[in-house]
Amino acid sequence: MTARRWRGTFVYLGALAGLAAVAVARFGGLPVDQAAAPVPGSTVPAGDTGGAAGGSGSQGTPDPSTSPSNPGTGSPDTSTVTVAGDVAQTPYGPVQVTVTFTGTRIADVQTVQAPSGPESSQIAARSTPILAQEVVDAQSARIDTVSGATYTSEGYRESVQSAIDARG
Amino acid sequence: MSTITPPRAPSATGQPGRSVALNHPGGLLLRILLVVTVVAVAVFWWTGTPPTTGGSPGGAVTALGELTGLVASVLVCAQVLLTGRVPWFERAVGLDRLVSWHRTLGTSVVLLVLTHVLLMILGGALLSARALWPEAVTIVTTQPEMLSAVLGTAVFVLVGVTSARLLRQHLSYELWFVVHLSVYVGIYLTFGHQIAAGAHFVGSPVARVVWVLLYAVTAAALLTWRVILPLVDVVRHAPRVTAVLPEAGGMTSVWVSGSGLGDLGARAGQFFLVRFLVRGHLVSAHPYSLSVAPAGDHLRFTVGALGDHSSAVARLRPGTRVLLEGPFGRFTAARARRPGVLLVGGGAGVGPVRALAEELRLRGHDVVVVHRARSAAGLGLGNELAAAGIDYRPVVGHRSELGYDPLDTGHLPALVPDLARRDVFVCGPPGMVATVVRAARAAGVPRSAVHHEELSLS
Repeated sequence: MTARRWRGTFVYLGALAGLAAVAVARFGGLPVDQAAAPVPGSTVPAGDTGGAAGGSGSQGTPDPSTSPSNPGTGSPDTSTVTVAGDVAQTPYGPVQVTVTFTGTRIADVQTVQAPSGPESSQIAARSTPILAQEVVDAQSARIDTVSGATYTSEGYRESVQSAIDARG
Repeated sequence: MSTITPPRAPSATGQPGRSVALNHPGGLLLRILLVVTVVAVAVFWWTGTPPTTGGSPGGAVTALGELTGLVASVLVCAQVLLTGRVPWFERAVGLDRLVSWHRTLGTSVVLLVLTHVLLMILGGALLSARALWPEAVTIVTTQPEMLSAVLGTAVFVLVGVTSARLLRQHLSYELWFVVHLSVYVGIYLTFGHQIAAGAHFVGSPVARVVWVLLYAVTAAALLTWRVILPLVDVVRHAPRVTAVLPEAGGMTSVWVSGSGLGDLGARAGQFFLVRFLVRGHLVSAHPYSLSVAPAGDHLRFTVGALGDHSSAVARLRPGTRVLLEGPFGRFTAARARRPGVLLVGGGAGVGPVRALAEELRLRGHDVVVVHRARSAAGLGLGNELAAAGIDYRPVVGHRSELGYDPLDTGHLPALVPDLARRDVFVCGPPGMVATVVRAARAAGVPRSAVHHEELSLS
């Protein structure tokens, strides 16, 4: 008799409303801000990614220093091409990479943008070099999750895969 | 039959909120503590969630899912502690109300866990532009500790479903109890993914430590008060069954004695969680009330013929060892504030009424006992009450035969004309308790003078 019927369900609904209100308070008034990132899937000659990365600099991402210094043009077999992957959304912000192909081999992966914020950027700084190495080693997007960077790993995989797909 | 006492204006209804708070300051404190904990978790989530997370629908949904998960997780600890026999909680609130809170909060927690799962899948699907099912598979296969989390969630759901009103009434107490115990496995299984995959913990060692401590302290409290101390008591008091006596109405009285049991300070009206250490009784502890005011190192419990276990009590042999947890309960003579007291007992509820009547009479109260049974043969312990030098009024007959409920608002005042001046203690089946509480309140007994306690732990 002490436990009133449906009281638990009401408490749940109240709690859910409260939690949703907290979330709205946190995100409220925030315009949906799509990063001015490279157009996903666009193939750009290596060396030109600097401009695209600069566009996303407003997100406070780590400096996406564009490494490929090879000449951007060459014969199709050994040419070096850098492809921008899709922007993968994670709860902590967008992840985007550029993949540099030498011929058909993945030569390098650069992080264009990664989750920012006090903890996230630290996590990104730690995990992205590992993830890049994994991609180069595996020559594919089938890489292990870096522990402690679940979302970043997930987004990284996605962006790398889209770049590989775009390269064809 | 007509009502003799004119119905009084319900003047007391204006103050129940205040009187409840005054009667249970500990209860208020505990509720505040619970709310503060949840708010602290929300603040923790807030600081670990940059506003940009809400920039995409998927990010916002995922973040809300994480908040739901965090709150559900901290409430799981609260759930365990509420029924963890923590002495401070028990004294402040009373085990019956703790169990009632546990029931309410339990429903909420299971629903929050399911909401967390759904939001995480939905949020992930929105972020990755996958369908829900492939996204669920991706989460389970790529994120750490997620398979065990799925199993643990299944356990939570099973425990929730078996405790739901619709199903619970079809299950035996023993089966329900075993399923309920498995929740500890569920909690263990779901803990890993919080630390290993929880986005708020992976980057923050401090948060990880605090979270592990929260669970460690909960586990320590559980071990202390539900395992170690009861076992210490078994060794120290070595309680054993000394006599098993059949009573009228299919009830059985069990005497339990042990050296130093009197030191436990049990009072009439209180109950113990009793586990007889013999085959068929080992699995579950049952709440049994004292049916005489404790004297020396001897306790008597009178058990109704309800459920498999209760009927098996009649076959217990003297010498059987007993595991006792308690005493519990705030249904004691100390609650009576007025010189006149009405005690209403029905079914197995007559046991604590019998013990209370004895103690209240010794304290100098004017005691009236109304004993409700379907037939004269069901008046277990009636012989003792009739001989106790109190005003004993057996009320016999099935409601369908009588054509009315002799304890309801229209009839109880006729049975006890000075009802409004008395403290009212009622113990029995939930329906009967509700009827008597309504009748007493309608007759003008203030809420603070109506005492009832539910024994069921399920």
